Amino acid sequence: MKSRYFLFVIMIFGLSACSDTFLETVPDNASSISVELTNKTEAREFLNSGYNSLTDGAAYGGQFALISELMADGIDGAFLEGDWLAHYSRSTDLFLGTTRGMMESGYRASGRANNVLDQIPALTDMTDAEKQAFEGEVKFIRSMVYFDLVRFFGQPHGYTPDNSQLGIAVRTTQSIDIVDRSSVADVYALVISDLQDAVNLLPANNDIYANSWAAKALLAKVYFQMNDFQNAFDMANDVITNGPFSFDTDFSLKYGFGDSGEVIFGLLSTHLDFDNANGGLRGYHRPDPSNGLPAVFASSDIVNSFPGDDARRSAWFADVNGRFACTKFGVDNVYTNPVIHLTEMKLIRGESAAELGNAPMGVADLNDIRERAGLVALSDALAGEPLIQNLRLERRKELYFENNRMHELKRQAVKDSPNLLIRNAPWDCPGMVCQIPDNELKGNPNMQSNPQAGCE
Amino acid sequence: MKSLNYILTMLLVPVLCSGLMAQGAIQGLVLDENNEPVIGGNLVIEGTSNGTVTEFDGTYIIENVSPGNVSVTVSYVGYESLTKSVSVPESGTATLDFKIGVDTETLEEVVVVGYTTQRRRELVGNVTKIQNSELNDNVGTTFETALQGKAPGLQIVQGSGTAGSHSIVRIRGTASISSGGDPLYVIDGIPIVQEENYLFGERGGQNNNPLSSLNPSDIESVEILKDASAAAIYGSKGANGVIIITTKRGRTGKPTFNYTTKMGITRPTNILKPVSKDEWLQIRQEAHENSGGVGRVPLPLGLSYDDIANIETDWVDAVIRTGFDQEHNLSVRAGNKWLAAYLGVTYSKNESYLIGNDFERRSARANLDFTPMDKLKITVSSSIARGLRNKTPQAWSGGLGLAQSNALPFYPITRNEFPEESPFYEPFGYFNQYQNPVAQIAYTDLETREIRYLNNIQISYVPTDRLVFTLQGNYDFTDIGDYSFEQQEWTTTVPISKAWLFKSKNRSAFLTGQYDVPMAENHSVKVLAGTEYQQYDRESLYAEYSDKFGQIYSNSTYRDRVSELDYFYNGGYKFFSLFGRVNYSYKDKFYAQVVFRRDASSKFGAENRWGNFPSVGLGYIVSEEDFWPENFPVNYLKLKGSWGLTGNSNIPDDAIFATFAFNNNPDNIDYGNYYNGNTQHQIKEENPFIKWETVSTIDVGIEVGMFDDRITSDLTFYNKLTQDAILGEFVSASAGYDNSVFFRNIGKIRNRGVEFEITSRNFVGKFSWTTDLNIGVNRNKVLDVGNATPDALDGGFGDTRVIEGQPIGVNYIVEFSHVDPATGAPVYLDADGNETFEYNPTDNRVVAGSIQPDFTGGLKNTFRYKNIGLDFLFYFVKGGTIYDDAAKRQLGVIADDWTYMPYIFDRWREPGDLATFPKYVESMNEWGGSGNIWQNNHTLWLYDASFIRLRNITLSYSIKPKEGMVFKNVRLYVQGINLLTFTKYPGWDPEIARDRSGEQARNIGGTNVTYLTPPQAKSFIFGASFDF
Repeated sequence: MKSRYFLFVIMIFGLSACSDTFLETVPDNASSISVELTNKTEAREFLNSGYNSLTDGAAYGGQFALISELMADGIDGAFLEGDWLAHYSRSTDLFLGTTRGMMESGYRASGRANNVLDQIPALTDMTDAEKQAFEGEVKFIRSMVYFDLVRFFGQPHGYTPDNSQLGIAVRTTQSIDIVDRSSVADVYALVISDLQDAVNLLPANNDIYANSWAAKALLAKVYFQMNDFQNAFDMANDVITNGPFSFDTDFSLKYGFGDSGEVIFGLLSTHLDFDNANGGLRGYHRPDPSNGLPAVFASSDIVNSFPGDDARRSAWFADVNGRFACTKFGVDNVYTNPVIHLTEMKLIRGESAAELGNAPMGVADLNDIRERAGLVALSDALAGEPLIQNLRLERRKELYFENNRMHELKRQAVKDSPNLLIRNAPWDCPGMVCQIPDNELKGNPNMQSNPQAGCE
Repeated sequence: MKSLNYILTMLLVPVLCSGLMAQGAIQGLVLDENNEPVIGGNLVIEGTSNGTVTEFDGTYIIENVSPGNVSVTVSYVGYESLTKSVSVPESGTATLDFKIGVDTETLEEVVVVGYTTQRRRELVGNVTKIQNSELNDNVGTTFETALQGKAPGLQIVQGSGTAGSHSIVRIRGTASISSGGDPLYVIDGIPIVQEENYLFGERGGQNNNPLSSLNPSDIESVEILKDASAAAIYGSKGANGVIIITTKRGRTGKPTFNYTTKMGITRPTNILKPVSKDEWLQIRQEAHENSGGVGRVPLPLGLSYDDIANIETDWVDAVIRTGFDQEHNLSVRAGNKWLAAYLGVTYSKNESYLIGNDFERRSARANLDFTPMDKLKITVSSSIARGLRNKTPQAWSGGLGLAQSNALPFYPITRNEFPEESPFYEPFGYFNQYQNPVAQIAYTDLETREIRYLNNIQISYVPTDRLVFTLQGNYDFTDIGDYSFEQQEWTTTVPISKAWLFKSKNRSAFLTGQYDVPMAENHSVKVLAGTEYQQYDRESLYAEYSDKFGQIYSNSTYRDRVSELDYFYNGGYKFFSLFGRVNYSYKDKFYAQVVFRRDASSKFGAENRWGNFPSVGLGYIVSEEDFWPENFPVNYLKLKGSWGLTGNSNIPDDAIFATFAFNNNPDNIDYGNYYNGNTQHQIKEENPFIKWETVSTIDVGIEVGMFDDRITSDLTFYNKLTQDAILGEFVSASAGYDNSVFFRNIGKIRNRGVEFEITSRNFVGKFSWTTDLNIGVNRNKVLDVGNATPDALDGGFGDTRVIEGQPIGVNYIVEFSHVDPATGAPVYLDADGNETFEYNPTDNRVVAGSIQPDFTGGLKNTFRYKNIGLDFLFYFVKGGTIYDDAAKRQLGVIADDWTYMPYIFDRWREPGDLATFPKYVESMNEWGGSGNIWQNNHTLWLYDASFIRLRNITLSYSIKPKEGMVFKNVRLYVQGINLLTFTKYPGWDPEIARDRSGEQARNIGGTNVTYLTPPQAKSFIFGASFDF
């Protein structure tokens, strides 16, 4: 009798040696990347989520543009508060929602792109050319993100002769391993090599996604930021002369839903399901229902840089109780965010040409833009410093609220204005760089903050 | 209701119609220590379920007794059980009288210890038993609040005064960081799932409370298992302690009915009104001028001074009220030889002090014990509860939170309060509705409806006297809907109805065998072995309708539409377990116990699927030895000690998986849809290594009885070491996984402390006075957090952190030194302790305090004089710090979108002033920091968290029944809950459980960090209990 019960006990305990697969409980959303990403359709869906992140209001859909103006001279500082005031007063610290969002959205895009890259060799239903195109898109997305994050979170290219100043963490494969900040030199090196790869890998025509022209145009921007005028010129010139883009006669067309010939790389919206990928950009400038006021106003400095006869002044700025709301992005309810467009290529080509001594081309590009805005053409004889200054002014105006101004001022400072003040602060003071936010610091005990010293 | 009556009748018929076989009988008298008759005392013949209850004069008669020697046990609530033997003649009547004494934690008391019971004297572990009679002072409707102050080492922080909100319960400190720190609750053998706290996030500023569906008056007793030897039988779920809830069961004898009722009113413990209109304007004007402004400061929203000339709103008054609480229980207990039943129905409605917030519960319970034959017993325990919670926004989400933040004293509630010539005047409509808590309550509706069934059936088979097999099957089903409705006026477009629906099935079964091994005299060995399986599944659904009028929940058309949608299977988990316990005793004075449990779970990674949890314990009643002197003042002395491993598996059940989001997943709030929304992405990576946390506990205790047990005392030392503590390692933004965390078993946490409990019966007799004191001292220290930086493990907002060498939940903020008397500017300390005007959180934060108290405890005094009773309980917490996360806005930079606290006035005004607060200024730059006024976290907002609270005071009167009265026992009482609080904290209430969702946030900053958190409730209650 007794032994039978003991047998029972032994039997029960014996069960623990058996297989435990009966314990598996798998939620609907659990899987593994090698199961979820196996073919072209799925690769496209995963990569779409990367593009999707670019459109986020914390990245290209808004904050990149806003912060680059806030920290420079494009926003009216009165009544700012919270994180925006911290940027405006060049005193960001590690706890800002803005910088957290910029890191998160930017790196979300690069991470999702890398996730696809890692799986490309295992995809079965694709030709080599298609695989290459995917690889090119991945490299385009991540270099675009890294180029912007390094400009916000590190001192600019040229801050030190060897660019050994800290940049950002970069990853070429998707993982949760700890990665330290690379030097600015290394970030730029990766960005350039990725973009050069992308130029070769991407087809010239790639549906709505990044193509080889987009990679070249972005490369032009990168070289220009580095004051590498020859390369910048070559790339921009290639895009302008050989690319399928056409200069719009209406300077606002590219901020609308479609129809522009200028968009080299845009973040697209569809009319479906209220999908408006770029609502954030416009949202800052629209009247808030609670008080009828927009969240930000343009500085009088930028508005006054447009002379009265400049058609862009009335088209892009509206008077709200004596202050100026930017209306550049309100053309259509749903619209494309023209992240890289032909006008910028002309600005790059023009100024690079001027820097390289090819003044006529600089004047031509400048006058194309001026005349379109209803301004008189400048003299063909313009050259040298005056031409460059005019091109820089045109760049400031044309690219207002397009993630340009702070980076551009720093570029100018590096090139020829070591004592440049950006709204009364030295261009290279610690506060002109965004502080690394806690969501990047706390995953890595070795991660270094930027100096927390403001600009006083 | 009709069907319920039918069921009641059907169940009672067999009970009432039995007892016809004539055999022997026993009769007698039961008296208490004052020789007063005990009425309603319960008598049972040992080994049977035959018994009865005493009459009005204390007499009883048990019929149908088999002739021979039988033992009869008498028990009565609050009294020691007593067993006596008598010889019953055939067809005759034996006489057996009893005199029973007041229960003082008797050695023979039966204690539920998990899968079985033990006598208290046999315990080698640390178990506190709390009887139903001591559970009468719950706050609102949830039972766990009634445990506060009643057991040493049990820290309960009530979940604010909102109806049906959830408490934070910690046994012997916080032993986990990223995994759940709450104890395991076991209701009649059913392990309850605690993750459901966070079902709906913190919507409305309130967590869900899965325990709120339990009716406190159905509870017979609560056992709290604290040490490893007690909790190891629950293996990988036992590390945070176990709270075992046993519901009432039937008793043999005539049916006894009981009706209890409570009615009362509820107010906040403390009302703290922001500054008046004049004060607000004065403060604002002063800041304006200090910051270089000239003229009268412009009013927000474009208001003019004329507009507001005659307006002053008391926003706090506008959102609070005196709530009315009521509770009605009707139950019956009855039983005979074959069937014993407890049946109870309850209705309760608890209105909180927040306008629009209440919790209504209807529940019914049937506990049936069948004894079809001597060797077989079948019990069924079944309950159904329906809860309806009307929620209002509170804390950060509005309501009372808005009344102390964005709702300014010169904003009117409605626009018609403006003078007619004002541009803001309108005959109808609310003013500034999104910051207007009255408009918010009027235009939005939040409601939670829940149904919960708790069912089990247990079959016990006793093939021989020494052997018992028990098989129990459990089914715990939850169906909760959280609904919101926003009227058109609120959305400004169309009304929006939303529904978050959730269902879970928690199924489990266990089989045990208990064997009393035949041994030589003086030796006893009992063996228990068992196996258990648990499967928990949950699924959810989100639906939103923006095109129609009417709430989803009140309109069957929408309900039908919702029900056609597919639920999303969120997963769940399974546990398979094997366990055993061996108890040895020698001469009933020396005890040894070995427990072993082996758990496997789907929650654990493939590499770590099985965990082993052993424990050993020893107990020795020294005073039973022959050498123990007679009449020694210490009449009882027991030493005990234990060691064991328990586990904590309270980790998300999807932690092991890589998870993915699809654009068609309604739970995935993504950012627009890129080209028609065909997107997928990975949320996190797979984790095959994650496993339970292992807690190793050493426990040494001494139990003493003195002066013939007039004074009894327990003293316990423990050392609880969490190894493999799960840390949610933050995944850097650069990895692209959106602030996700990756769980690793790499932390180490130590809790060690002392628990002391003493009961002194100062007076006995007609006037009796008993004092109970318990204190739990706990020292919490994080020994290892791997490579985690201070910010990597945070408690959400409020800057509480986990830092190696410190307690869990330290305030890691900049040290505020003083206000500079010369300039009125704040002076901080840098990391080296030097004074600085710069507010620099990047470099200068230090550990400035901790949410962990030094000790907590309760002091209870009970007085009885004849029929009158008075008892009161003080609950106290010493040590720890409160961080007021809203103070930076209520007391910091003077901005025009917040109101200020009434204690803001001690500020710097002119050179030489020694002030608490700096000069009023308008910008954070003038505080030395970045422009962001939300980043103003430092020790100026840190307060001592100590408090003493008059937790309960009850005055009761019992009417002794007389022959001919309808009622056998009547007890009337008045009760005050949380009436008095003594604290140095100037805010609303020092007892704070913040509305944080997520285990880590609750462990690190769930208590003692407030952001507009509503205060606790105080109530005045009239109660009555009738037996008939």
